[in-house]
Amino acid sequence: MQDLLRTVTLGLGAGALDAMLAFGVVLVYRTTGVLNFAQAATGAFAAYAAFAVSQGRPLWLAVMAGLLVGAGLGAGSYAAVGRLQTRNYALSAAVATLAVSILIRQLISIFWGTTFGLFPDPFQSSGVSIGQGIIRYSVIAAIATAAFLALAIGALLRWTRHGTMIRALADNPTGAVLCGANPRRLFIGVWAAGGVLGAIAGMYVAQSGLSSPSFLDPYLIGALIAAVLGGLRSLTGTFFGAMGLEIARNLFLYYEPQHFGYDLTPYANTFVMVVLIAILVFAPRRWLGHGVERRI
Amino acid sequence: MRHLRWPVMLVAGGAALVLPEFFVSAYRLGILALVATYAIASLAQNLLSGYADVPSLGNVTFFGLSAYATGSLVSLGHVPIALAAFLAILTAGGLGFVIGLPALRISGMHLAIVTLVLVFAGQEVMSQWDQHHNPSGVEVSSPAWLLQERGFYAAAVVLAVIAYLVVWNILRSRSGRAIKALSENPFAAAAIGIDPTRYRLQVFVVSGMLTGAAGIVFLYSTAHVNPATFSLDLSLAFLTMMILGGTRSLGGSLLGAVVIGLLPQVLDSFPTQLGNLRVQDLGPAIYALLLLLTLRFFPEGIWNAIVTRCVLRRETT
Repeated sequence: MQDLLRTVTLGLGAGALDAMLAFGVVLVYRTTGVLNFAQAATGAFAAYAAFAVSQGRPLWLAVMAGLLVGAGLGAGSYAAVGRLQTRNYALSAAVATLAVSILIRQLISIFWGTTFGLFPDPFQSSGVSIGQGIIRYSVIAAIATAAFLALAIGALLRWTRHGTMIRALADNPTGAVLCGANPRRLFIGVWAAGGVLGAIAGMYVAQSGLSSPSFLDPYLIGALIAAVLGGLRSLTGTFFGAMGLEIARNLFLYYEPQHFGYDLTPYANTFVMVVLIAILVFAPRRWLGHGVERRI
Repeated sequence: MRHLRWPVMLVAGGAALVLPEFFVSAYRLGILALVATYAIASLAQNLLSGYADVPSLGNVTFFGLSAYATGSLVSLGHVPIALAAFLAILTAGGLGFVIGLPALRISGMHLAIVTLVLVFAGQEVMSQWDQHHNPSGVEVSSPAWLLQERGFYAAAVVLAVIAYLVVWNILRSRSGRAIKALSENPFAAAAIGIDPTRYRLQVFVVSGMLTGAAGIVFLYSTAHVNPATFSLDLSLAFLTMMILGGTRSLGGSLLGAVVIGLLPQVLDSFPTQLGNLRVQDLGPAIYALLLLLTLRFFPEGIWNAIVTRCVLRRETT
């Protein structure tokens, strides 16, 4: 029973990291129609920058630096891909973000190619013990952060003037502009917010080690699937999608070897893909937001 | 001009086959064969993501799966190459069918995400296969009738010409018109009786099979492949060829394949070390940059830009 609890909590922890990346993806996709594959690279760059600052300096300074770098890279990505004039905008822009992610990764290996290290953990790797294992406090902090971010972003979109403008731009661009919204400034803001969310996820993951420029990629896959489960629109759907996905994956990895002769644990991504295809083929259409192309 | 297309293609294909024999060293022929391989993959990508407007980031998995299937059948199962290649192309088409299934219900970027996950899942399956069956990756030796580089180059060019003609013919058939209509306006197309699901699946299967054929040529041109070969970077290379040359243009696909295929050669002519960077490792970063610049300055692709300019000039004179 305690093992089950620990497996579920670890799933929630991974789900929280997926969710933070996914919020950035959904926010940017809903407002600007661009699927940002550079989200993980942005977060990784910010985490490396924060790690570089953290050497011999207080943690809060490093975190602030990471968030600023994330925001800057997010806004920079908008400059690179946000205003393309192509026939098939959605695909071109998505491919362009892939290109941006390759460039960012190249920059990481130029600046910090040989850097390995652990981003400082304010809880000193301590945690609560459940069953035979331990859940670090930073995992619990990540879950709390993701839940807080979901609520905070929801509240900002719902109850502030800028949030209303962003929603208006997503639903009816012409009408929003006629009401005085400044799309360019809002889009830059949304992309920067996406970068900040990536940076937060990056710094959390970096507590277990900065190993390579693509250390955040496994979480991006989960994030993208969570975003699809949320219909690429709903933050709540994305949050629960991420949690459900990671709990399922952790339970699969924990129970599968005990119950089947053949060890399927190396196939975690394949498992996720099969589940995703099954959901897309069989789930009721309204779960998936009709797969409507959103584009401004 | 139209009725000249076939003869022109045949003459161009014949010239591509014969001329390098006189001017190019055997090593360079190997590189040109790689360009021909990329051309096939790029044409398949253009059919799927350009003409049919299906965003696929996972074409590299068709490419890799087919290379793996052929290599394993030949080296482990001792199956004749022709049969192994046939089975591998069928498998790639089958995978295209499975990945196309969600396309029956969803569209747009949801599908892009499915195909992206496919790349990672594909690499996972290949590395597990390697662990159990060939620890050093898939290795093949070229059969004698390929006569090393020259024969191999000829085979690759012939396949590229066949792939071009296949795609060209599809686009001018009933299916091709249906595909174009669907991507222009799905609702209008459905209203005149075009079944979107059927045609989307067809395009997925054909694109998968063509990319699979390219994968087999690639396997024999490099003689050794491992899962790291078939990463997202290679998928991005296919997409870059398509966008760089021109989405919805067959000539553009060929131009893109030439540019991306020859890029490593250009890099080789630079000094190997630049500060603490190896120049040869910069390949992906350079084509990422090329892609962003093309999208910014020639949003419809370089080939299309040239063609438009030529047409404009002809009309003004």
